[in-house]
Amino acid sequence: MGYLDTWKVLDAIIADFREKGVNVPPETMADLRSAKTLISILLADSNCVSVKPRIEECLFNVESCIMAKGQTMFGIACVEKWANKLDQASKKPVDEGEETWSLPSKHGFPLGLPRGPNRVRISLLPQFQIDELRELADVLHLSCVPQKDGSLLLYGDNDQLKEFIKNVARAQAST
Amino acid sequence: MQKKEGAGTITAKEKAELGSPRIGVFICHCGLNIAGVLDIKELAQFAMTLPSVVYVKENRYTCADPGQQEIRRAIREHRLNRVVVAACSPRMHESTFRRTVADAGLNAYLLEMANIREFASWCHSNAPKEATEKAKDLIKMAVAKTRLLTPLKTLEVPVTHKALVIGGGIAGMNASLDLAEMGFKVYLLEKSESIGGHMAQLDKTFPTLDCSICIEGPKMVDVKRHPNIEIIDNADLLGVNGYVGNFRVKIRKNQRYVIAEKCTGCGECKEVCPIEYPNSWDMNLGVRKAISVPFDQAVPLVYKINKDYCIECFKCVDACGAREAIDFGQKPKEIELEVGAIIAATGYDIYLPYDDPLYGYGKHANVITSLEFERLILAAGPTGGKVVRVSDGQKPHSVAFIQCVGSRDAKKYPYCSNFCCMYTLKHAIQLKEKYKEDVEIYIFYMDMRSNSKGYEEFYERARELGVIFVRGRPSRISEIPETKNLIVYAEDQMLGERIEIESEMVVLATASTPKKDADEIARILGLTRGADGFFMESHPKLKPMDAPTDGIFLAGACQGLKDIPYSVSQGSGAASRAATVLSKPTWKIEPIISVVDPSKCRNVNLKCGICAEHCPHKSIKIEEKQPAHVITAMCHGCGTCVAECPADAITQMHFTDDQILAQIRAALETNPEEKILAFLCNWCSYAGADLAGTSRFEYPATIRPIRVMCSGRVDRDFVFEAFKLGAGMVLIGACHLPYDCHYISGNGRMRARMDALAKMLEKLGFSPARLRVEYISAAEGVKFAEVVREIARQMRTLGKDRIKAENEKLRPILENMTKRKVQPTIRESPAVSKLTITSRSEG
Repeated sequence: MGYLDTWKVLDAIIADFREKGVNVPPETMADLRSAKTLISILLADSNCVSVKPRIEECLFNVESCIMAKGQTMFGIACVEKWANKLDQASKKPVDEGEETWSLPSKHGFPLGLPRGPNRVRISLLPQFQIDELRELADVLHLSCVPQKDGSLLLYGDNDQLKEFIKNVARAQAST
Repeated sequence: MQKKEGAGTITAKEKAELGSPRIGVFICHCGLNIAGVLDIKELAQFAMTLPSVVYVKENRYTCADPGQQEIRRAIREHRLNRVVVAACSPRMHESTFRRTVADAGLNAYLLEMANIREFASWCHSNAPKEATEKAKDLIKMAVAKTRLLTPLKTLEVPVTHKALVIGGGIAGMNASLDLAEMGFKVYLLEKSESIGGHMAQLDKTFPTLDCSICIEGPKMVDVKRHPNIEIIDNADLLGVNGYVGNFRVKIRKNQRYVIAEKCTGCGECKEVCPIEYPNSWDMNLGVRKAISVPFDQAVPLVYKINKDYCIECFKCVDACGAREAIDFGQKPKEIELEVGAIIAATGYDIYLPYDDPLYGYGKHANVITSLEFERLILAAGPTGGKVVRVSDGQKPHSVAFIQCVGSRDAKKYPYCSNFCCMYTLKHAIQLKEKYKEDVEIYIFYMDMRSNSKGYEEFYERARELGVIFVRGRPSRISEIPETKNLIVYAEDQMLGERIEIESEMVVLATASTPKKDADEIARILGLTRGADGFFMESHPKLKPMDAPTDGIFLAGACQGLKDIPYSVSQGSGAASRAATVLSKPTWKIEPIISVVDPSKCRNVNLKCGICAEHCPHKSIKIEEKQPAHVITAMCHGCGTCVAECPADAITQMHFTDDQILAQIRAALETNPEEKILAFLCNWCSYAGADLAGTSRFEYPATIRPIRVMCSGRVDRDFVFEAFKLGAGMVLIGACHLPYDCHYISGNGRMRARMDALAKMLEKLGFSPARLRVEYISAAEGVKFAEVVREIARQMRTLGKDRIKAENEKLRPILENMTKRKVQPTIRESPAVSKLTITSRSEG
């Protein structure tokens, strides 16, 4: 069973139903979040099969609750559409942890950087030119290193980094 | 909370029924433990001469059923209304004899014990005559106090059947689950965004090498889903008021800027967030987004915006879409709870040795701590489980692990952190099993400590895998600039040689320390901290999970560092202890509390409040122009307020001024210049004196001990009275400063009081040695005996004449100082007659 895919479909159903005014009980929301935590455990270690029945329990709790509510409020046709999506998701292979790491990666391993909470990486936004960001950084004596993915890595004093973020937020607000 | 009418005191009718004192004295042989040294017949005859004593009886074993039966029978047949049992230490059998007298219809607090075993026969066995004389005084002192005893009623307060657990680590979670399973509502307060604690940061657990999050994660989900548990995450403890069974807790729930009820944990917001900052969960080796969770398995899985790093682009709002979970206007919220018991399971911190140049941490890129290593080797960590060097991202081919960094170090943290040896072995085994011959591993250690189930085998496994153990502490670590490799300089103690080892990575097993906010938590909960900074238990052996404040319990590393199995056990243990409170409809409190006489309290006319200021348990409330008010259920009965009160307006039940003064007068009635009068606190120095007796340590029989619950109860007037009556020496025995006091700070108050008094007496011409304060723990029987021997020597050196002369010189001043302490009058029963002296030998 593709747990993560099933979870995503359930998340989408809940978003859709809530937008249409369905009141989703807090226990169902808690089950949805618990299912995601348990799926993350399985993704972290695919040998941890003992969580599978519990993932299924949580997912089923969510499914049965919202589908029943959906049927009552929107009729069988609406529910069937979502039921088909759930069926397709459930037929996908079992989720396993994927090998995604490479250096330097999106995980942000601080290769060659001084230790500590002294860096931020900012993905470029359409409203900012890289030079504008560099200017803001220079004022605060922060070092800038453009990254291969187009983002900008800044490092330096932690307080100055926070100040930089505030300045970007202000600049953002004025655009 | 409503106090039951008449709690702590008895009605006028009951008092009237008591009439004048009719005391029965029961002298125990304790087999030959007492009778083998003391002259019991002489004691019995002596007891009969004491005022108000109407009956004396010897027993072979008073604590045995026949002995207790005799007490009950005598109470009925001889209309005894007070009882003295001269036997062992009250710390051993006071509760037994209280039950005995209560069974016979007498109030349980009309009993007093004379400790003639630990304090006479056992510690003076080579001087039976002196021991017998001392035992006579001990009985006389007990009778003197007993004549003034009043009946007391045990207090009862209602119990709120809910618990607060502070800290959602493995100990706190277990405590919560156990209490919830017992049917109690539990609030689990967690400071950070997720429960799980340090265990959730780990890759594997030793010695089984289970995946840590695989075993803890489902438990975290169990906690979240349990109908009896409410997690209050991302929140701070602001205050705790109240007392056992009835605590009122104030909490601030901090804002996440995400509505918990609406967030599904999908993470779409995180995907679009443009800002990454170092993730402290990953020891800053990984990053997280400005809107994120600290780790994927977080519970509750609710995202949080860190405003320090948010540029307010609002992309997250768009991504959240119809879920509408983002709320930039969210404010912190204050919550008030009522609970009956509290478990503190606040955990520990890790020392980062930036301040120790020896190891080059923070300076050399490839020197990391064990927790940083843990995040590297973890598959879900910032490198996807690849152990690489910070300098170049390359896999190290040699790794040196260094033990006891900061711990077992007198200059830093002198204690052993308990689990570092084992996690280093775990890391070494993981590396060896992962990279086999491709990695060389050195462990620099002082001692390898593997003292639990399966731990020694784990150590052997590391050896078999080829890990090289070097016994010796490195003297320094330097870096080779070109390669960023490290040279570890050490002395191999086994070879007796200096060695230098080049390593591509160094991992420091750093000390674990008390939480940064331990001081604040201690202040709020009224906890004490040991010399190492961890929370102090009520008793290290017998109450290892109880805090000194009733109704508050300790679990996990906040009480002292421990590994996962021990923390889990302690979590369950604390839950079980908390259930002893929560499972009762009402909670009984011993009535040896303080009572204020409103007519004497100075606060009515002046601004006083000294008692409230010095009450260690904050159980006295002061309002302007009102007499001080003791919250009885919060009062622990240390008596510090009584000794501090400048107007003598406070009385400690069962340890009143009159009762203690009567003991002093009885003790010093004969040959006072040859006696050491000692005030011993119940929990430490009295117990230490008991231990001296149990251990048969001999010391001079000139000491006359008086038990007080806390040294804080020792009034200056007691010392004045003793010297006025001619005492040779005065000793005050207390728990060790600063943390051992069972009433938090009673010993500190006593010291301040006695320091001032000693200076004054010295100015008046007293020999300084004549007033002595000593700090003696329950384990220091040897010290107690040595102290008494030393004081007796000093007394002999001073000589009786000088002592007498000093006393005579001071008598007018002392009389003036103690004149308000008048001797109480006791209505002697017209029917008092010396009824019988019987002994077992007489049949």
